[in-house]
Amino acid sequence: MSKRSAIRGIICKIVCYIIVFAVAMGGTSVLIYISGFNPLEVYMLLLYGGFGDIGKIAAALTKATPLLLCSLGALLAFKCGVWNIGGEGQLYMGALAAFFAGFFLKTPQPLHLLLVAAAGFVSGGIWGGSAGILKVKYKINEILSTLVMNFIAIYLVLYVTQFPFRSSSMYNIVSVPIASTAKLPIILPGTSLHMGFLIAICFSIIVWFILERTILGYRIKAVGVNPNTAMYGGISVKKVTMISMFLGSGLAGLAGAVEVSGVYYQLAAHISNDYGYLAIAIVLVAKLNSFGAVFMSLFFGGLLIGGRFAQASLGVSNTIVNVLLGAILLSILLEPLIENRLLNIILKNEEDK
Amino acid sequence: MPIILKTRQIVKKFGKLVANDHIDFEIKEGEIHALLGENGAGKTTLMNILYGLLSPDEGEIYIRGQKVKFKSPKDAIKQKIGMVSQNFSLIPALTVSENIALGNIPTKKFFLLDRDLLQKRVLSLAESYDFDVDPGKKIEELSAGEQQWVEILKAFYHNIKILILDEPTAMLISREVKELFKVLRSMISQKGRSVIFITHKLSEAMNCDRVTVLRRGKVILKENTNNITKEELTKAMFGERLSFPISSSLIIRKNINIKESHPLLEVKNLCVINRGLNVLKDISFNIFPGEIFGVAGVAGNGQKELIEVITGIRKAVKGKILLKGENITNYSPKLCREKGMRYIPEDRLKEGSFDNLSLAENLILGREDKPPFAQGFLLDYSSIRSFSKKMILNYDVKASSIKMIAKNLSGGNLQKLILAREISSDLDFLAAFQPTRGLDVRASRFIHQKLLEQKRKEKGVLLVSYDLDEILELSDRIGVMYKGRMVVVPPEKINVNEIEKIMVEGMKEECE
Amino acid sequence: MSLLYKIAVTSLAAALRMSFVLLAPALGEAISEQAGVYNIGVEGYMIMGALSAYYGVILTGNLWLGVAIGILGGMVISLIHAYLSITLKTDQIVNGTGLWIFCLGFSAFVFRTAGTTVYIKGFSPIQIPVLSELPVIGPVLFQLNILTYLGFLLIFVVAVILFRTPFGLLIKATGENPLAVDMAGHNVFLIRYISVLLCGAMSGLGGAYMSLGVLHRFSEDMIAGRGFIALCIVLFGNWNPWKIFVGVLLFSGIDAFQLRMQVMERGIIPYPLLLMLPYILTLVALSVAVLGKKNPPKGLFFPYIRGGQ
Repeated sequence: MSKRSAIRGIICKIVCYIIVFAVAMGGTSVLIYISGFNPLEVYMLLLYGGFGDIGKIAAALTKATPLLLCSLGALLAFKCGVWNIGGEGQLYMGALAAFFAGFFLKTPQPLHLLLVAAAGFVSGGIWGGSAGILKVKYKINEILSTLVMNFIAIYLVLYVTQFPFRSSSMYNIVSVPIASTAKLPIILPGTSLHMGFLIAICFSIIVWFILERTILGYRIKAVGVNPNTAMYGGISVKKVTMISMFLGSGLAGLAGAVEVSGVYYQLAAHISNDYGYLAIAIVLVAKLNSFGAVFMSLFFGGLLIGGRFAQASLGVSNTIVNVLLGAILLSILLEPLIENRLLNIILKNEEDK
Repeated sequence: MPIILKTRQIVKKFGKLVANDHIDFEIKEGEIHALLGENGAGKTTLMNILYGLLSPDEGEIYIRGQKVKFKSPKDAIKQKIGMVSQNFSLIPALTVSENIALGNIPTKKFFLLDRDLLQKRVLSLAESYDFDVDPGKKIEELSAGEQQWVEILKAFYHNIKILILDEPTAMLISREVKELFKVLRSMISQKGRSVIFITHKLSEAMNCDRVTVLRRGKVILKENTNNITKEELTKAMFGERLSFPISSSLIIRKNINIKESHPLLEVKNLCVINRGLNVLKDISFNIFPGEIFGVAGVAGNGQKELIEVITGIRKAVKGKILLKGENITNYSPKLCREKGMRYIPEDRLKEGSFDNLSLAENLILGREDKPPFAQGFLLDYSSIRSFSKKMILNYDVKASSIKMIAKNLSGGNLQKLILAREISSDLDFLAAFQPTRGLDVRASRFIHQKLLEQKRKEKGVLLVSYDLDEILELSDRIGVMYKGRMVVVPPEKINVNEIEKIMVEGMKEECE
Repeated sequence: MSLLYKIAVTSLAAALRMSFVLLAPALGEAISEQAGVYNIGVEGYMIMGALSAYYGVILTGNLWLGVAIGILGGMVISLIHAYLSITLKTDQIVNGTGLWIFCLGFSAFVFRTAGTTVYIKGFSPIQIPVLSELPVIGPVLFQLNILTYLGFLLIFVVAVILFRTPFGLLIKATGENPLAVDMAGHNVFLIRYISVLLCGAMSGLGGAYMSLGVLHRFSEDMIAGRGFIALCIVLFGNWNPWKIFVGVLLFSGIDAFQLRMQVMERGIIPYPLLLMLPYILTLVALSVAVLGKKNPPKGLFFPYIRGGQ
């Protein structure tokens, strides 16, 4: 490939993405306008509400923490070609186990936190990992199995918070609180930003490292790109699939643990704001790129906080952020169309010259 | 006789590859016209254009003097063109009648499918061509030859004037080929009909009235078959005699003293079942160190299953495979690799490489967990980088950097990359399946050179190829596969005609 | 005895009444998969159908117009899926997943912004004269609402189309080997588009029924994975409309059963555990489904590229 065509390709790609985002924002703006609000105002509030000052940024990062962990989990699975859409359920199972560890165990703080996190990771890992085993051993479609298991997990947590461990609260469906030694310490005083955020950042680095620098990561990518070639080359596709599924689900479980231990300090029936599903959208939009996924998770954490801010200030529903993400995802899906048209235009111009 | 179809300066490019290079092609009414050329000459592309499956980049098509434009097969069918394609366009899960009548499905009241009428039509069609078949049988229940006949019959379902047959004799034995020509002759005896017969076999081309030879997308020759010899046609097909820059001593067939050597690979009474069918029946042969064992045969006679079971991808139901005396039957691909076996698969994109990973990542497959590429569970990128750079140099892989994505490589360069990966590590045995499929002469020569080098190093090579010329050039001994059985031909008996005969007819004593 | 009888009969009747919610999308998806296109986003089609039908009725005041708008809602999303998967030829799973997630966010926003929670009478049971008075089968079979009867008709219609019409043969052929269909002169893309749109329409209809005939309003988690359950049922039923119906009855049965249990047996079995039942059944069904011989269309998931790979 000549240097000129390579540069042309890069410019085309950049313009493509700009158009993609423009289309998504345009579509969302229309929806905002129809709902009776000023799109520009809404976007401003979203950005300001999420990133306007230190307090807001801290809230944004707190919100981004479970989102980031779920995205990393989805990334690991998707990179391996496993369509794990059970992040939401794995988060709930992680939260459940973390709650039990936080409630029943009596150990000093550092150890207690470790056990809570481990409980969350293992619980989510087993929940999703079993879907992985079903896929590998019995060829059961992992999309259908993980999705269905989401609901089972959500109702299980609903049961625990409604019945055996129900708190005396009249308003929310929550459980009794966890031990104080199981609470993640706040790292920025005066805010809600807790250590879970640092854990999430650590794991971002760990996941990148696994994918780019280890044998396992190589095998995960290989299986994801072409399981046949991987098999011929001696890679155990079954083993790698199960491991990536376990690890990815474990990260989603860890997200649940971190919410219990760092934000709620108890188990709640609605402990997740669709983090599992939003994570899928983020990873797809980032086209399975780890840097993109991390960046987008942090950014959308801010937008989610901004959404609540906008709802409080203007009255526009905070779910507009979900719509925005969905619209970006849709536009990304339409990207090949945009790229083709753009290439044709560029090539035509070149020919005319 | 008037000209019934004509193409003028047809050009079709796929990226940089010019499949059809300004082709002027014509057929007259009432003739069987052969389109001759080796694999990749552009015959199928031209026919796909004539049937509306592809549109040409430049050039025109004229039917009976009128210019026509085909946007889809529907337009071609309107012009009464029928095609029997090379890649099976039958539907295995449906019945014979459903497949044949797909183009014109009879209906009765309320838009319902009229199965009785369907059955009747297909039966009478089959009868008129003397083909005995049960229209209610599913295609997957028929033999390869019967399936080929159904494909041919399908083309006759409509009232077509121009019949295109793309390599129609692949699954037919010589008696059936004669039948086919009889059918074609009777077809063109009716007014206004012609046949285009695509083939790469000289004998079939000579059976036709006129022949056009294609090579590398260009028309080389157009002539009546009684005005030309086989030698002239061969020269037109292949161009100048290929000379290998390899010491001819390497190509001398080795006379292996079977009683005194220890075989490298032993296959004993191997049986493989695929989807309930016996695809390999009692296969036995040996491969000795320092020899290339070629497996010849028409595609679909069990070669794919054979190489897959040897390399550990497929399970054997019965029999044994021994490598260096060790029983490796049903070992996993990973274990086979560890025991010294390497594999170059048939499809370089779908089975041989990772299209979205870099060249470096492709090159370490199979050794990614061993030094020098890995220390513990970490990859050692500096070793990987230097190794990759060395490989693309030594194996003539034209790439801008080792970070390049594999799918941007041309076919020849990709195959060389795969070869580099497989033979650059210590191996004892190499299995290669169609290693030069779709490659240009230069790349093919390079691959052949490397295969012959393995001979010099006293390694064993199993070469499975559908290209008989390739087998004949390189093999010391040849095994011919037919319907799941193998006949081993010793060096002194290697004779093209004999082998071709076994390929299409099997041994006379064989009973299915 | 009488209580058990009551539970059994009302459960059965409820199961049949609810069956349309799963039946319509399952049948639609069976058609689309037979043609070679997989709609993982059926959940999204149903959500949009439920949403559009609900607001359609509120805006137009007419029940059947609302239903039509619901069908349209499902079709619009499926049209996008068809465009992405058939024309742009991108990965069907990615497309479907993206569309579903989009529908989740979009429906939540529209619902919260519109703010209505008006109860819509919608579809209520019809009492068929004479027949509904019969013991046992009377309340079970002859007091259903009109869409349920439509559902039964639909099974028959789909079965006839797939097995006895030329179009059905073309659909099947397109799913198995689109090249053969193209070479026979038919329009593969049109066949696939129609199949996907049918799936979208039927799924939208199923969703519409959910909001107009079962819950009588819209709520954000109302579809609750039923689109995915419908996909499981298609697999379980081996793409055969009659077997799909059996599967639908099983699921609707459990669904209706757990709803009844929640109402009647207050507190004995905690309701979240009852809510889990349909999903556990789905997992079991998935495991059972892969045991039997399945014949998926060979061309499923693969876009058709004319003129070569």
